[in-house]
Amino acid sequence: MTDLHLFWVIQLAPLLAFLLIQVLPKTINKVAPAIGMAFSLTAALASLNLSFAHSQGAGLPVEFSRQWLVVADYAVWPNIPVPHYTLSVGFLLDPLNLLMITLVTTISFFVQLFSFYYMNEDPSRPRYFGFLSFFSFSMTGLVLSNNLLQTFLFWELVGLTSYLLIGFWFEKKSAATAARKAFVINRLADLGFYLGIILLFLLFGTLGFATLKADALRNVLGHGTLTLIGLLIFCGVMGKSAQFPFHVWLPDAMEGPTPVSALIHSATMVAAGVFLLARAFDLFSASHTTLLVILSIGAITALMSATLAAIQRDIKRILAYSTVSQLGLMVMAIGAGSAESGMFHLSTHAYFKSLLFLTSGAFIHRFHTNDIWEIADRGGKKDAVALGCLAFGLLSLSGVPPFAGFFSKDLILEVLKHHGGIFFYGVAVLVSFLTAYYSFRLFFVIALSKIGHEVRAHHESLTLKISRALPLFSLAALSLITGFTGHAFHLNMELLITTVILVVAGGALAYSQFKDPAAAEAALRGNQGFIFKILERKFFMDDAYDFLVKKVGLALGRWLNAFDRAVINSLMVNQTSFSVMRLGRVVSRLQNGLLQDYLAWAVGIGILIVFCFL
Amino acid sequence: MDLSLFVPELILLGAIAYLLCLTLSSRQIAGSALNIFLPGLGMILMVSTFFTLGHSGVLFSDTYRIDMISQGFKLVLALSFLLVAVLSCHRISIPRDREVEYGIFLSTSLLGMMMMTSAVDILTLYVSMELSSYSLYLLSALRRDQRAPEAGVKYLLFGAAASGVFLWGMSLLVGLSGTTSLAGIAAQAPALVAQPAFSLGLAFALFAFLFKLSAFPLHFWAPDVYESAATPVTSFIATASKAAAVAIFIRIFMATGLSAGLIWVLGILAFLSMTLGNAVALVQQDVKRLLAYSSIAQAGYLLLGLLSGTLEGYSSSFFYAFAYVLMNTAAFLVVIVVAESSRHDNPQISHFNGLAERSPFLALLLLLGLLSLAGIPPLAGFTGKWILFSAAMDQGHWFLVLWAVLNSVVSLFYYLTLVKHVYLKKPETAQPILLSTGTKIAAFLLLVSLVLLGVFPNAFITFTQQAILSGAF
Repeated sequence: MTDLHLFWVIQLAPLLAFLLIQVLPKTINKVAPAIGMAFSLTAALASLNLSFAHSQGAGLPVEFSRQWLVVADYAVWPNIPVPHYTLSVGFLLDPLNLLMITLVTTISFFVQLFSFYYMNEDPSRPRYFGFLSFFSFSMTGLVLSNNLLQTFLFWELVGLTSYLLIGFWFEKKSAATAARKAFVINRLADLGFYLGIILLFLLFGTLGFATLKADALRNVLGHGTLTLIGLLIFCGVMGKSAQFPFHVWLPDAMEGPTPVSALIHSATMVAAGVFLLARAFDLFSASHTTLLVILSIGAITALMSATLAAIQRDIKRILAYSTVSQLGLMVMAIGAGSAESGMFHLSTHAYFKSLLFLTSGAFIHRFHTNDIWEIADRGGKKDAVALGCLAFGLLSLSGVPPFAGFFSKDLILEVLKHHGGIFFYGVAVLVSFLTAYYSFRLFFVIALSKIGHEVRAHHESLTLKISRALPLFSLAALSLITGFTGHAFHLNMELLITTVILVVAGGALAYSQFKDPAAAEAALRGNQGFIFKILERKFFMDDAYDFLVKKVGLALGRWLNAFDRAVINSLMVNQTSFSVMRLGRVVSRLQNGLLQDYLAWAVGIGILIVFCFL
Repeated sequence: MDLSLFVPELILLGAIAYLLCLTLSSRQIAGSALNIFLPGLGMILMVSTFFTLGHSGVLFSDTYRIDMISQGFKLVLALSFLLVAVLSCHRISIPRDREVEYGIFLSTSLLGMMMMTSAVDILTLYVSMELSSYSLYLLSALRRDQRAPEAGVKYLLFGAAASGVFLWGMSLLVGLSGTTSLAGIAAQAPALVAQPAFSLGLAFALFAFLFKLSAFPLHFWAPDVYESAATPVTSFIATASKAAAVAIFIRIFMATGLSAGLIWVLGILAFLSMTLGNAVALVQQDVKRLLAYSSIAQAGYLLLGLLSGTLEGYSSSFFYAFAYVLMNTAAFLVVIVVAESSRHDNPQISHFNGLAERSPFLALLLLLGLLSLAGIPPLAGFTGKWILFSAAMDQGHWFLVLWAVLNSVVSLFYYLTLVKHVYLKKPETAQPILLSTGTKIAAFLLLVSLVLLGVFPNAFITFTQQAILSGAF
């Protein structure tokens, strides 16, 4: 099979699964998980095949492109001589999205497998697996596309599936609200993205990634314009990758089923923003101002959410804030000019974070609570499989050598040290310290607590046991070995020591506070300190949005509403439509059925017009 | 002379001869034979036209020209004929003992239209135009209804007046240039175009074309004829006849060129056509009348492309004519089926109540057809309007384009009113509508092609541009 065939397989297998699941009659829709898994396995194997064929980067990049629309220069834009605007559709394959597509399809498969266990008792399973397959389709489309517009289309589709899956249990009010919040905030951010695309298209004439080169862009466009376009497109990234100030939707998105959080809200979709930064890197790096903004936003996000992760009680929220913070680190790396290190951390993070989420799913499914103290109380540490995998994931997250997270985070620290300046390097060091702290905190609370009201495991069938354990073990293994695949790696002793010191310090601090989790919890409850309050209210970000929407937004809305009703609706719209209607009634009287009148009108008007203008 | 280029017309002539013989046989047999014969004929015509698509040549002492314009339009006409032939099995108001005549006149009128697209001599043009017109006059009178003959006579007299003015105008052109051949006129046009008599002659000649296109001020026949004719006939008049009119517009304008005064005239007519058609359509209750006014408005949009007088203008008019055949047939298909199910060949808007429950597929087809007529992306009508308006914009007709866009908004109102009845009102009977296989296939193909032509228009746009280039004198 040629590359193009493989592309089609990867792209269409999930869509086929979605369609099949949709058309299945209700009576046999029990096979929906099997369909989903079979097709995602196909896609995963196809992409593995592809990545082995091109493992050394031989024969890359490959582009398959077809012209879709040629717009002649009718679209008038003053003083910009672009003879033809061309929109094309197609696939592009280079090392970057080879990495990404492998990651997306494999994690997709593992998550579908785990979902078989997790969603075993849910009555609307077919809908769930249908959406999950549709997500895979959209995500592969996003990754494989060769131009910004196509990316944008799939970008919106993943946004839609994210909305549908966050609100999967829409009968729960909090889930419905969270889904809406995610959707609205993402639309707001995507508005910027879309404007950026339009502007780029008008001024540059093409949107293909292969043609977006920094020099070419600088030749055509000025610094200010480039910065504007870069920042507008970065808006979309901020929405999707939950960067400050658009990060508020991601923690709430944890209302969705946990495997969904693992796939969409940690490993793949939220990483799409970072992926886009790397994909269109030249577009951003063409202006150093853009890069500086990206670096700063990343730094704010990373630091802010790392502190927030340190005080959460809900296991999924801890992981969610940790995801935001890690995404911030990746964005920082790219802002510092190194797309490779950002992407490297993205891929290792995808594996260990999906592992962590699936582990948390395993806890939640068995103990029916999200609170880490309650999980511990009900016997969390007796669940050896989950606890072991949790340890693996957390060690990787906090950057303990030789786990994957160590290598990639090390690379980011190195990049920031050399290119980011001392301030941003300091922020990254602080974030690493906090990461180690909240990771160990999570582990100690579950592992060191005394068991109070133990919940015994239900008897589970062998299939269920396999579908629970296999993804966990596979991802644990992957989060150990992916670190060695970074080809540009070389050991830097100074950074190794820094990292180890950070981990030990974070761990020690966590141990000193949480060696007796019950006492720590009591202390936490009593804590009414100022800083603690700020953290508990999430730096007042939600309150700020609340104020903006409820007070400012509503007041403006009421005023506009009045204006709209009085002036626009009744005066302009209704009057126009009434007069058009009236015109219709009057003119229809011309059609009175008398031939002589018709002819008189025709000839009369004809003669009038002819003699007036000829 | 290479008669192989004339094969589609020859086949059609043979078919007409066969149909004439069929009048001698028993009426029962003939009526049912027609249901297979006409679609078959349409199919064969499409295939044979398709094979002559790339050829070119002149026949009959340089009065008949085969090129990509003529063959392209013939393909569109054959398609329209095929669709009407398939839909003819739903005819309910054609008298039983006149069914063969229905087939004959449909075929002769198609023959006339096909010849119109190839005619490059004023006499050939006139004869073929009259052939198609007379067939249509007879067809529109062919209905079991008191008012059909009345409409037929109105149509005839109106047409006679238009063709009288056409002859008058053409006699001026011929007198000035001394030849009846369009190529001859084209050769002298640059010198003559400044003379008022030339422009006047051209303007008069336009009367006949405006009549075919049902544009203001020669639109008066349309609502009455659309309403009174049997619905398949209306559908044929509304699609094939319009496409043929666009073809001769393009031919004549390419031969004579456009003077500034003429562009003004056409601009004003386009303006009035759009405004009048859309405004009056708002207050119609009879769906066929509504579509008649909508076609008057659409004629205005088409004029916009034609008056641009550029390669883009002509090719986008060609494109829009094709898209128009597709979307209008889609709308008429649903009207025909609804008329049949309600046993009333003048369906009112209320007859469409709850169509979505009785036949979701038809409802979807009607929805897409109407949205395409209104010019909503990603359908064929949108792409057509887009390139049409861009061509006009290129020539600086921004006011007309603005007005056309505003008019599209107005047209949405009455199209969506129909859609509202289809989707939101309760049906009077819950009885589902069953479709014959042929209609189902036709409907499905229309549905698919409306979307495909809208999303992937490039191949056809390129074809129309090449056609216009090949048709230069």
